[in-house]
Amino acid sequence: MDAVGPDEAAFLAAHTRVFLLGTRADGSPTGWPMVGLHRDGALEFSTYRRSQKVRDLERNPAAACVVAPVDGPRALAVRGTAEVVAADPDAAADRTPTDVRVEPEIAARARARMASGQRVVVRVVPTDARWVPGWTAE
Amino acid sequence: MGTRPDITMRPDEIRAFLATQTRAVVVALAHGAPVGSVGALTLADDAVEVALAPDDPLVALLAADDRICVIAEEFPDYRSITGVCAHGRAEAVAGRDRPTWRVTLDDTTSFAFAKIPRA
Repeated sequence: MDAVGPDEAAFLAAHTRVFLLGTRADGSPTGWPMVGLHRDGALEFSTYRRSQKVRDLERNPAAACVVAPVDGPRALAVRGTAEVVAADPDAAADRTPTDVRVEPEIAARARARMASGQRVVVRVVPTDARWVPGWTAE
Repeated sequence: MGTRPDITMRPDEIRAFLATQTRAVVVALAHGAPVGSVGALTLADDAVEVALAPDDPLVALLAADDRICVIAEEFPDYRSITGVCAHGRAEAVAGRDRPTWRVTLDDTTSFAFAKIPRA
């Protein structure tokens, strides 16, 4: 059975404000606010290959995500496993989310760094998902 | 390669930012794996307090392992992205309507994109 049902999949496709969660070297929990895109059954995050989050997730790929739109009464808490893959700058150009306001020169710089290999993609395939109160919940 | 600008926030900036935030992502551990939820956030001197729904699975997880991370963030636009992650031990706070924990601000990571120099 899929970990993500149609309601959850629609929510993931509609919202890009995602907190990527992992563990530090000492095993304690940590996290990073990110732009996350739902693609091919996974949440994907663009980041620097040399970033702390990549080091942390390669050490321990047990990961989680909280998808939490700032104007929504509910959020989706996802658990899964992270993998780090090469970035595809052409795919990234085609999938710029409409709700993320990034200046064109910054987006172009990010694509150039993907092409150079400086940036990679972290993919988290959900194994479990549950609804939790969102940013505007009482 | 150029030197990356320091966009971390000073302690007073962290407290000022957290004072404006009412929600946060709360992260606990289940057998060494992170588990997240969303809680109500308040700033309490040099700590934050987070409250969860009584039936939230993190309530039991934090009772078993008090290591916690609390993340507050806002992203009105790229140049204004601001965030704070507080790492530490979750100290239960008694006498509240909902399960509540206190986390000190001794171990934080932070970022304020407004500090990135403009070209």
